[in-house]
Amino acid sequence: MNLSFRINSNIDSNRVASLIGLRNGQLWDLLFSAAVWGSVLIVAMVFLWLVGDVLIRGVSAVSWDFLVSPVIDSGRSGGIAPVLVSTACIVAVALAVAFPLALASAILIAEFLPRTGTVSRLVVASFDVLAGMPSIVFGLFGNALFNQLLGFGYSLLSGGLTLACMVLPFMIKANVDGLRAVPRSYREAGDALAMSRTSTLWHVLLPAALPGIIAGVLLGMGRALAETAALLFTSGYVTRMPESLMDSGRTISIHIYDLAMNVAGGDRMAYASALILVVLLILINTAVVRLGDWIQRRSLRA
Amino acid sequence: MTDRLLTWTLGAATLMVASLIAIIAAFLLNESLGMLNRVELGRFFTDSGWSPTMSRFNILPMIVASVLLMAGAVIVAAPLAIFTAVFLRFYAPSPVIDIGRRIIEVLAAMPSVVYGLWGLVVLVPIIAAWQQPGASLMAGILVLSLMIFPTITIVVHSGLAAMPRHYIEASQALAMSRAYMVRQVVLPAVRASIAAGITLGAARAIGETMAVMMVTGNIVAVPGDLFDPVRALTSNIALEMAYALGDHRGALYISSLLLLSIVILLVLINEFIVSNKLEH
Amino acid sequence: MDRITEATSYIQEQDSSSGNICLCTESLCLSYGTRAALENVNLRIPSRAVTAIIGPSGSGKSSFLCCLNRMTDLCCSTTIEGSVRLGEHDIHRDLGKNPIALRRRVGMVFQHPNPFPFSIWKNLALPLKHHGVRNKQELSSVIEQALRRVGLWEEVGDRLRDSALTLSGGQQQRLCIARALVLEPEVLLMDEPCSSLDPLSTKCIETLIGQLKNSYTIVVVTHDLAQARRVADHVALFWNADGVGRLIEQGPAARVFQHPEHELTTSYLEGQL
Ligand SMILES: Nc1ncnc2c1ncn2[C@@H]1O[C@H](COP(=O)(O)OP(=O)(O)O)[C@@H](O)[C@H]1O
Ligand SMILES: [Mg+2]
Repeated sequence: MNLSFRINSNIDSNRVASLIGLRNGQLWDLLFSAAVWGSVLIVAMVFLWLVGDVLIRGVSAVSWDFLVSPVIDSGRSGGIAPVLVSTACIVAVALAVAFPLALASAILIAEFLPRTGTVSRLVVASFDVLAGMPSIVFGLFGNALFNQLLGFGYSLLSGGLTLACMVLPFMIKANVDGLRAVPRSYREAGDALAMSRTSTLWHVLLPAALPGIIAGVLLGMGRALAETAALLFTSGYVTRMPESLMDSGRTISIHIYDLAMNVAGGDRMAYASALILVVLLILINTAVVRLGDWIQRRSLRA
Repeated sequence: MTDRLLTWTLGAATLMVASLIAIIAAFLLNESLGMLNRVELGRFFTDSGWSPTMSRFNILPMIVASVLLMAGAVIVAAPLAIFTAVFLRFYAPSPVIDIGRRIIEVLAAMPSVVYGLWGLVVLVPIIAAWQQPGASLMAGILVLSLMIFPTITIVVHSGLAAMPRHYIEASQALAMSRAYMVRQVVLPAVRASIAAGITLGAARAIGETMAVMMVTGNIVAVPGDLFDPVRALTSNIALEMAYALGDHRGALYISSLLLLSIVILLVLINEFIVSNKLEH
Repeated sequence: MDRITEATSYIQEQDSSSGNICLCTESLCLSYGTRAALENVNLRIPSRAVTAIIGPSGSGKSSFLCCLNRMTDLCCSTTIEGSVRLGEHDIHRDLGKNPIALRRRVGMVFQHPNPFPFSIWKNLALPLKHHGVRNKQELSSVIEQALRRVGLWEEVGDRLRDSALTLSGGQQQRLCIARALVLEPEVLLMDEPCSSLDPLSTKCIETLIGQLKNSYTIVVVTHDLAQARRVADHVALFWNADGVGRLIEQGPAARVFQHPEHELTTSYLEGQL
């Protein structure tokens, strides 16, 4: 029919036509598409399995009592109240220390350093290394500096400070993104009004970048909550209710690890704690995504 | 005047943060130095085994285990991640795209203990039913590949999203099928992102502690096959740090230095890839 | 009155002389989402001739071109009404869900040169391989002929393994034309092929169009009236009326330029003179 070739003066089109008529590529196309769908199916099933497992085994053990009772019998019974308090303390210390440093670095990087300059590239590279550093290495560093040199011992403070180092690069990146999403016109407006850079920053840029800054805090919080290895040798894993930041205490992630690995018959409670942790992280992630969408919409509008 | 104060404050904070990596390296070195002065570096590879309380410091089996775990995880996860990223960009019906990306982001943020818990309670018994003892290199590779899958997918997907649209238009106008276009045009065009995703995933895999420790059995030995238990460098630190003293402690800090240098190497490779892409 | 009769007779004369119509659209309407972009376009594109589509920007010229090889399928929210006929087939109904067969017959060259970020060789070999040419010698000879035809062989024949992105803009555009031609389409659609090129490259491409029209039906969008005068055998003028693109005049180039029927055409042509 009409798909055949017209005779052409320059190219021996009959030859090309007969060659082109064979579509032996179709087999590969089919295989490739099958691989795409197959991979997605496999991955979806495995993750459904994983999440379903945590959900189903976790739900049966979670209750209000579980959240407010002390840890009894190494966690086989009772609840996780002291664990939650320790977690909150460690995360709070980490964020309180990391936030100002992250914000200050982000402002310098986003507002003052030229984006492709050597300094900026060096700084960013050092953050990349920091972001990729194994958490157990942070744990060793924290142990040497905070536990031993500064003499904080196994304590919530040591753990929190170690985590602060760990979440810094992630918070900085989120803050930089937030600041860079602020429309250029805001800065020009500040300059036009002859405001000093400090007051432009304080009254115009930071409020405008607030969603990005909050996203950074949430991201840091998520990282800190998920962390285990860096805390093993800094905050320790005492299950008592902490009385001060100098007390040792375990976070929920460590609790899960300890129940699963070191406590015979601890699986049920490990799953319950895992469920709590996963739900917390999903909530945080949802908030981050919402803020991200908001930032993007605004930078498109501007 | 306030402006100058501000700049100085910001500069000081950034300097502190940027030098953190150097401070960390300095501390790790300081803890290792005592031992490095007493014990020859070669002994970490030639001693008759790992029993640090008896002054035998061979960490080679653990290096082998870490590298095998990393390579295995990348080999399993990378194709799945690349195909999934392609799916989200070119195959998925539009309502699936956003949900899919959300799910992958949540998976990337999942704590490693949760992966480890699942591996320990669900996966290891399944492997054990097939090949004893279950807690093995294989289990470690599978759990790690789940963990680095979202990382690689996110990087490759953002590469696909950033790819100039005109490559797609040109392919379509040349009557290419979707699968041929993806194979021959799109994937070669985003190979830098794929490489970046893989190095990032590899860095995450070699640095992972908890999930690996929970599923690999933690026996110090070069594995004979996939179903042998192994102990990764990271797990070794986590398992022994609590009671390590003297040279033992030093040896653990030295292995952390090794980990750090591997990660720095991977980040440098990544930087190289990214900056080459920018020039291109 | 007199002029119109003259023009009509001229059209009839031209139609009978140039013979068959290759592509024609009937009451073609296109909308992006709920926004109409084209309304009621009835255009006849004669075979083996250059049809130039002119008009102010935003009048739907590119959109129209995309309807002809169903590039509109790439945007998910487009709706098309009316028909586009290629030979005796309706490209939307008869050629079914799969536009690949259609695009084999209707090639396209874009406004900005868009070679793939691979070697010159690979740029040309990819479409050929997809359509079954696997033999290395066949590939070489087809690629050489395609490059010769666009006048690139002399310039780059000895460095086919270099990245196509190292070529100049004009060379890249000619490479894109060669790439469209290796598949031996019947129709070649060109969307402002010279608008991002320097005058010398433009001249080169115009000459090329003049040669190609002996073997291909060419539809070229341009907003350069002088260029339309130089290359076109037939002209169609699109106009943006209330945000919707319409075809307001079509006919042989000489007739449209000398005796425009529509007053908008007159003012558009004069505005440029
Ligand atoms: N992909 C698209 N999605 C939505 N609207 C589009 C798209 N492409 C073109 N349009 C709209 O259709 C109209 C015609 O555009 P176009 O065909 O590019 O005109 P021209 O090529 O004549 O300048 C414009 O108003 C443009 O905004
Ligand atoms: Mg256009």
